[in-house]
Amino acid sequence: MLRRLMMGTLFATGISLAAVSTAPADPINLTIGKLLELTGPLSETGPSQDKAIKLAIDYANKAAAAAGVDIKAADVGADVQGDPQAALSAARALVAKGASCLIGPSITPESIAIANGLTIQKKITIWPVGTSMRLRTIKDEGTIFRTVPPDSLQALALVAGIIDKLGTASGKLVSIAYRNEPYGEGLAKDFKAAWEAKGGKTQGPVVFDPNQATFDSEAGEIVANNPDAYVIIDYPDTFAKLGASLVRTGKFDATKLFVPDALAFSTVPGNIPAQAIEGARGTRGGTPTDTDAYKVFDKLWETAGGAEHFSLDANSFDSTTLCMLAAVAGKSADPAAIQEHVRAVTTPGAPKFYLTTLSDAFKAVAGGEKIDYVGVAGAFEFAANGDPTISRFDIFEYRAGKLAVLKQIDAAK
Amino acid sequence: MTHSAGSPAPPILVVEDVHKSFGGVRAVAGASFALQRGAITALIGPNGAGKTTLFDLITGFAAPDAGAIRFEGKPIEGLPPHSVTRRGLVRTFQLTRVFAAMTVLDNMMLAGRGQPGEGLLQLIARRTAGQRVEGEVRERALAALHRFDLDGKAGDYAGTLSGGQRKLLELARALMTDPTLVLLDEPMAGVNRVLGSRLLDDVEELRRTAGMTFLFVEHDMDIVMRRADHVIVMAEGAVIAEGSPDAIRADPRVIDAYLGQARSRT
Amino acid sequence: MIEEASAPPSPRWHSRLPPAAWLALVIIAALALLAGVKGPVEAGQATINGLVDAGYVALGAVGLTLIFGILRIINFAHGDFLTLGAYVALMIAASGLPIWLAAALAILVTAAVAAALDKLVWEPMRRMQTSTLQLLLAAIGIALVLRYTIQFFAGSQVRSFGQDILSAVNLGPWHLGTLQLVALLAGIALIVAVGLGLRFTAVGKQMRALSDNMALAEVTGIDTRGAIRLTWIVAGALAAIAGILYAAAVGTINPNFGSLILLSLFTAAVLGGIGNAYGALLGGIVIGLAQEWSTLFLNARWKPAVGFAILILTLLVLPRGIFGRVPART
Repeated sequence: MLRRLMMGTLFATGISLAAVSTAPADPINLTIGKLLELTGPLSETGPSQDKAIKLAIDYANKAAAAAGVDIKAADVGADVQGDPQAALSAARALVAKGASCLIGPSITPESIAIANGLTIQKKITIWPVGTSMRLRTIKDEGTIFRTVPPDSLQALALVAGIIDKLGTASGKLVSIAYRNEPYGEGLAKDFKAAWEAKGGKTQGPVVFDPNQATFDSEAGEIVANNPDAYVIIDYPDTFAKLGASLVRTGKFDATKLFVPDALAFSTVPGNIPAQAIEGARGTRGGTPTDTDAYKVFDKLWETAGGAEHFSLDANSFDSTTLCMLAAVAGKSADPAAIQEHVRAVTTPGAPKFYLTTLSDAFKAVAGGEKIDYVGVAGAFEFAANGDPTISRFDIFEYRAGKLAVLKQIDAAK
Repeated sequence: MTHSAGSPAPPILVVEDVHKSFGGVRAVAGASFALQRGAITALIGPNGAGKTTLFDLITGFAAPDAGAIRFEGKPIEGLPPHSVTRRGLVRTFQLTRVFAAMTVLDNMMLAGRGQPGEGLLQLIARRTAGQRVEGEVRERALAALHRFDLDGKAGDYAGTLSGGQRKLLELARALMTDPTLVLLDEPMAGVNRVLGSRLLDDVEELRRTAGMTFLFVEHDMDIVMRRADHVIVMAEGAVIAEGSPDAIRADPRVIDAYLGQARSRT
Repeated sequence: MIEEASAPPSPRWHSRLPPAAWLALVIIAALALLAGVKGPVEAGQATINGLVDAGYVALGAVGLTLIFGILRIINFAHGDFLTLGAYVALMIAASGLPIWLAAALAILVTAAVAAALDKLVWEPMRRMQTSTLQLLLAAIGIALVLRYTIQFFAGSQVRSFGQDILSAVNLGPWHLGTLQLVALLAGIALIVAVGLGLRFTAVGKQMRALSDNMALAEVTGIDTRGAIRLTWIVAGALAAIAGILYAAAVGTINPNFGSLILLSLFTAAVLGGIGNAYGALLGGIVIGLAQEWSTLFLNARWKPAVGFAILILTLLVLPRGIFGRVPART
């Protein structure tokens, strides 16, 4: 409160903004918490998320220093284990170590547990990598920002991807199935509505419980009536079993399969039968690869070595950068100050800055300007709920066990 | 500790100053006695005198806190029950026990199998050892059932037997273990007079023909006086008197401790 | 408590027909009805899927029912014995040994662990005459120790034997996975072997005697300690076989799979009449068929709920399970 009064006084008395930026302000020592999926169903994503956040901190620290902005960020990390309770404990541990923003986790029930149990009350921003719309059923009081494409947009991308293959939606039958979790439920509902709005037909959804031994009955229902396409919203551990059941039906054609980001892998895991996925197509949050920002990001990534690119790594990179920009705008590592200033650095219509001009962005923000920071993954221009209003998606296909991006599309409401 | 006249053989069982407490309650407090080979001995005493506990201590169901128990001259205190049984000392229970979900013949044959020295590996190997032993055991079992008029029931489940038939089965089963000493815990309880005296006729005959020794707990004084060679009287965990039925009948301590109470009970 | 299918006549109304025959009639009638309503292809496929489920569950449930029937221990660690068997086999196979040898060694190791636990935990607890609740807590403790030990050494990621789970056997319009068929047949064969072994072998009779009356078994000259140890060894070996077959046929496992299917194992065991080897098989079949048949009418998301609904309904009609009986003891 005192700080805000003082700031108000500064503006009221008309002290020049340039003076603020050059005056030796309190140095900001920011701690960024990494909520990583190191074990559990999405454990493949943990290492790349970790690497993305570290690279972002490193790059932004240097950019800020070059601009003469006194902010120094460091990272702390914890394993969320794919489990809401474990995720909440992990978040508590990170906050106890002084974390002001939390990047991750990847599974929406984990984010909900963290938000309800900890961060809403403490006004700490979390930047989940999960894309489910279930996240938006809670009253987060403006503390949850997502740079990742929400499922409402991914559903539109899936529709576009299937039309791209079939030529039209009109009269085409899509069989929908999802693993019984909020991610699948939300995405399946949005997809069904969007597909039917384009004149297509759907069957199902077949909803399956992950903890059972056999999926043969489910597989039989999915391939029944010889649909034009299947949309199966699943995770790798279950799809290893469901995929085998699908192949055993003898009626399954993997080239008719469309999957969302949870089944996007640069290399198909060995325990997923090739016949269940070879030739399948899918969508995932895409990163525009033709930009200068991407080239810088990709170079950082390759130079650093270690984990390979994984879907949504650029988004966590951007989330980290936004958190640091917001801290500079708020002139504090205080979580509430960061939360209040996120929109000041992603304001539509304000001057645009990019990763290539991050130093200038820091300088402008430190000078109190509003900016529109465009990340590696694209512009965010957060909607009222904290989700991006426009997102880039990859349409990919599995060829010889590898993910090949066919094209990129922008999905927007 | 006096031996009966005309019995030069050493006692088959010796119990020496045996103690056992359960949570502070002294169930057996310094009991001592010896059993003569080939005798039928009655163990009497009021309820709570420690008779069943003493049976448990002798047959390995509980280990004494102190004292010694020797069977055929060798210490047996603390041995597991099946080892005691395999040495030739077998017991029955106050409440008749049978393997209800098995046939009468299987009840018998199980007892016949538990031969000395049969360990886990031998148990497994038994199947490959051929049918010879199996057939032998079966013949013995059928003969024993015949003796007790149970051969018609051999294929029935033991759970379907009447109370009296169970008593007979219990004794028959005990004999299958080739015992030299049999402990009977209230063999007459819940059995009608005719069947009861038939059981005791069998006991006397086994003593005569096979030289078996018997120790039995009984409350019915008429039976004790008529059937026992020797009577041991327990009260409050200790042996307070022993001797021939006539001597015991006349012993004032026994009358004090027990007989009056028993008369009023019956 | 370890009972036979043809155990003493029970006084209930359906006693004229053996429970197994009675159940078979119900199943055949239901199948005919389903084939009429939904067509023979769909009904037949759902039935095959149900039998496959039953095979997985029944073999796991047999060891559980054996331990409860003979020792009165509700063995919450049984699911983790399945996991142990599968993981030991995975680890040994990873060292390059052929899979059948790895499986055989894993069965021995799991049986040895079960015997060691009897020596270290169960036997002392038996001597102290601990209560059912304490036995239950000890079992849960063992379950957790096993699970986290496996996780510590093997990691929590998904693992696979790498067997061909895609190959399928086609029977006219119906199909089932080759490994699923192997698991099902092996499961039924083992269960029948256990049932026959309990009924006819000397060891089996001793185990049944033990379960019937421990004290009497002792006076009968049965080495109860040895027989109990052997019961654990058999239960451990059966769990390992169940775990390995499950892992090979399902394709992928993680260290939680045994604990996750434990509830299904209990359901099958209780439904069949706990303590009865064939009961575990029939219980598994009832649950498996009910769940898969339900997918003909309901969304598959209801499958687990249908299983438990069947359990509750059956217990309302047959409180002791299909093969359960009123004890003949007085």
